[in-house]
Amino acid sequence: MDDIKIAGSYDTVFINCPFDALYQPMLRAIVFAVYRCGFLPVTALDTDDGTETRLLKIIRLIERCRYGIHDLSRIEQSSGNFPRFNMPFELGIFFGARYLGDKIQRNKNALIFERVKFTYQQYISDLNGIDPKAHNNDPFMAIQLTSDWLRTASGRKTIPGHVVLKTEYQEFDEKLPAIIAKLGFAISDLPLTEYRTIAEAAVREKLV
Amino acid sequence: MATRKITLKTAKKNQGSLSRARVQRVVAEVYAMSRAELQAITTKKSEEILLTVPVRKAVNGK
Repeated sequence: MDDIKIAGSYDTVFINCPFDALYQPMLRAIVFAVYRCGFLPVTALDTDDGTETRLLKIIRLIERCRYGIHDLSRIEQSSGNFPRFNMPFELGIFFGARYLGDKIQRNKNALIFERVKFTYQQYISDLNGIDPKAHNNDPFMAIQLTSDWLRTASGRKTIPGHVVLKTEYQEFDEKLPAIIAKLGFAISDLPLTEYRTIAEAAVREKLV
Repeated sequence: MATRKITLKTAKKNQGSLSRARVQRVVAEVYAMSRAELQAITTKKSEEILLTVPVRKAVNGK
């Protein structure tokens, strides 16, 4: 069929973000937006191979994704009073690939999120001049910033405007509890891999 | 304004436990429902839901 294709490395977007319940509305919106723009979202939760370390898996995923969304909005101290370094660390790997890798890796392009504009300067001043985008913890803002970035970075003319994306996501969000219920899950505990399958099907449903 | 349609991109291998065909069927069914039908399903199912897949716990807060 013409309306669906296996993604190549130029169609994949690595999403580097928290995976906890608090961040779930943001992650769900970003995953939907990436699919709806004609790209494949990839996260560290995608595969579960006990023979591969988490770090090697992340490096492998970053290597095969041209695009990366890195959310630094949630690096505050955890309950153990330690800051969360995973997201900045993975962004560093992405930068390393972009500037030290081969010709393919040098085509990498990233969208960096923070919660409030310019707060990154207080904790990662090396990013000065990079222009991270502030989503204010608003899923609809994340959708808009993601689609605007993918349109510019890829140059694809097929990516819909953010009003269309937001309207379709709102409709999907309203129908999601019923879809999940019919599939035998609870919305609070839906694994990301299953959510991705559902989001992909919902985007396809609207395209047919 | 008419816009060109995107080509949906998918992974070679389905990562989840749900079959794509089944999910597509359910999504089509739900998208065709009215708001009242949607609410009825959500209310009814929330009382009888059992998780069928183990939930993956966050690792290092991610």
